[in-house]
Amino acid sequence: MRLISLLSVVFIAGFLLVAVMRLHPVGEPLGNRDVFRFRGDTVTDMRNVDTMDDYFLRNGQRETGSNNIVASVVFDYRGFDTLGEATVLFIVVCAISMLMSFLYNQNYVMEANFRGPDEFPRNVSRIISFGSFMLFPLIISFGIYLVLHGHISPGGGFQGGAVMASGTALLLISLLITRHVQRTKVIFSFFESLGLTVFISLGFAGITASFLYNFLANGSPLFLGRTIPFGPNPGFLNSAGILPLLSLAVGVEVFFGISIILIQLYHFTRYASRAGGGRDI
Amino acid sequence: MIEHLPILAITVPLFAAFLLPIIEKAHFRARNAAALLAILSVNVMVVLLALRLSREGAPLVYVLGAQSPAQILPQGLDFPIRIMLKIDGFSIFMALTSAVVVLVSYVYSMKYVPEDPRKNYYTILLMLMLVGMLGLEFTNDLFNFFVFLEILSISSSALVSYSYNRKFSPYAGYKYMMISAVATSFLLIGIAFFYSQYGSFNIEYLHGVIRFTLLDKIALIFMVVPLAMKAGAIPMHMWVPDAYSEAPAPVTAALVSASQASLYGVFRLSFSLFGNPVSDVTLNYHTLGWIIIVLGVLSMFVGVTMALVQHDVKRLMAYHAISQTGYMLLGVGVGVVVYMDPGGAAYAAFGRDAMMGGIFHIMNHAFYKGLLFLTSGVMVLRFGTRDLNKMMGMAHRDTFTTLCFIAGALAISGVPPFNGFASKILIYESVYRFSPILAIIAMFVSVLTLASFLKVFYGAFLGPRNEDIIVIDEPLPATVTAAMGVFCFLVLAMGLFPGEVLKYLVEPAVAGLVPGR
Repeated sequence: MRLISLLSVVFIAGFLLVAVMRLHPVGEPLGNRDVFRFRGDTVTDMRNVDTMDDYFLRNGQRETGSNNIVASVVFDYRGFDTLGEATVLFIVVCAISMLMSFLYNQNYVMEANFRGPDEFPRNVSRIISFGSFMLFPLIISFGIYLVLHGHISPGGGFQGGAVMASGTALLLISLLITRHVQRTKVIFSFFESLGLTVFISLGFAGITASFLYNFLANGSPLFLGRTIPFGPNPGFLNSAGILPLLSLAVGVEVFFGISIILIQLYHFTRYASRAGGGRDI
Repeated sequence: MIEHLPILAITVPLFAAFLLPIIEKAHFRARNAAALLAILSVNVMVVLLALRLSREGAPLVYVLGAQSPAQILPQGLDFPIRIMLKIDGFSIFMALTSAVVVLVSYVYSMKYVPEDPRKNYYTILLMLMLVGMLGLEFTNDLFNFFVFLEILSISSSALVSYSYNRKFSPYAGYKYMMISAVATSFLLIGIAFFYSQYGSFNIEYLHGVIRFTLLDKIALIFMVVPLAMKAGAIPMHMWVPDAYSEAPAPVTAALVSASQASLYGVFRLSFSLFGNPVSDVTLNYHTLGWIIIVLGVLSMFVGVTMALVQHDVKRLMAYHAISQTGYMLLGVGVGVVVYMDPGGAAYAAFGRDAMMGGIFHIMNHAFYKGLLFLTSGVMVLRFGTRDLNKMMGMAHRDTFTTLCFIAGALAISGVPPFNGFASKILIYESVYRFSPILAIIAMFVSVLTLASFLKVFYGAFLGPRNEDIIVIDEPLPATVTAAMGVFCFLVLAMGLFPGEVLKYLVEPAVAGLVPGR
């Protein structure tokens, strides 16, 4: 049996090696090399566009009004995939809450607070605790920056939300997390649902054209519709239509979702350490 | 609004699932009503889509985020840039199966699964399973297919471990999640091979430009084998008995449908992506077909022989699910082998019928296997165990459940008035003209199936009435009976009128899979 497993691993590895040798060379564009040669003025420009990637590079910035081409692909051209990925996170949060629900249905009271960290973890010193508490607002503001500037600079909802959720992890380290785990979960889960609902409602709002149509882009500058020039520009917060809103919705969802996971896993480790490592209930 | 139906069928249950954690705060009845309404509306929308498809004839296309849903190629490009849904006969056939099965299992679980804080997550995850199935059946985009397969896999593996106070449920869920993770990772590698060569994810576009390089063939392996693993074909079947038997009964009924959705992926990729009868270079269909046939025959035979020795009623049924998957693979495999024969005489003579039998069997299997799993839920409820040796005399108290079990057992063995017969006779007759020995194996497997279900019937339903071993003595809730009744009705109706089902559902499905033949 061990030989069979070894042989199959070698077999699959051989397949993958052969495939890698035949892949497209790294650094060699699949499409047209001269995609940036012309500096056209029209909104969509088909010169030197051979593949889907060329189309994104050449027209993504002007069609969606977003300087960050990655954000324009993630939230506009393939917004439905992003909705699916956000749903995957939602499922994971639901699954973990389902499996951890025994944390709430017995008289399991949290003792962890700043004044009496006497049980678990004992090895957190006052310096680490206070230091991570001081880092918390910085991390949160960096995350908010990443979310709000997702359509201008590298970043976006997923990244910013994950950065903000690492602030929750810092709070857990600093032992400042609330003892009311159930109430926290209810509030956080409300905001998580709210983020996802806003995302999908923005999709429905564009359904006069088609689902997830960017109906605000290149419209009125008052409603995030500022048109931006092709090429380098300083970046404008009120451009890109529904992209910043989608990014914000995803950021809220990711922050509260990952926070729920972290808080429940933290309380679960406390529970497991108190119950002698077992999870048999 | 009618042109937006393809996306609404996916997003309306998704929207409801996002709202459920908020609705649940009001009252659990409000949550039940909202979930039931959403799943019902999906059924209505799928039926409307089927009607529209039969009226228009051509596949329905929906481009997401474009200025109009029909704008596939903007500004005269020759490649699509946005995500696209494409609904043909096979998609709508599978979507109808999934929607009906999820509706029935949700109705069953309204009272069957006890009300506690986790029930909310149960409802959400069941609805997201439906979203995953519908999404991967409707989409025409490889990466989107992967995303929906992920949604389907994660929500079903969470549901498998729902009864976490039983000892092995979390282990079964973990196993299923690992299998799904491996499968979806390899699928993603295969998709990446395509993207690195052709710069697109669109199945229809790739189908036109595919050059069948060595990388494409490796991608075929990396895409078809994981999907066969998720469908439970034999060398990769080890997760099926664990996951099916540890999940709550209504979830198992939905899981059968989820496996069929992966099987849909196998067929869709091998025909709509790799099958290109117009180009000069093409795949060796003979070899691919024989691989599918060998997988199918192995699944049939090994599944049923493993089922014969089981004492756990749900494990027994799970092995039968593997065995019945073999019939679908056998039927479609025979169609694939003769698909590229010169002249197409063999395909017209029996290949098309074999494919029709295999595809018809998907829907039949989802319904009668769902019915059997739902009755097994009643057995577990009554006796508090899944061990057949500890059950007896259930026919004395639950007459309707007994009748449902008889219908399901006869349907799975291919006995005439039920729907299993209709598809199996198509498979037997057409496969006999291809190779008599394969047809004989298929019939022999059916006999063994009947034998092992006789064992269940004898063990659990017959025998003296014994009140001491009954754990829960209450009468069955109306929703449980209604859910089993719906499946029972479908099994009987599709067996009595197979011609109509073949004409309105299965023939368009084969036409969608094999256009122009």
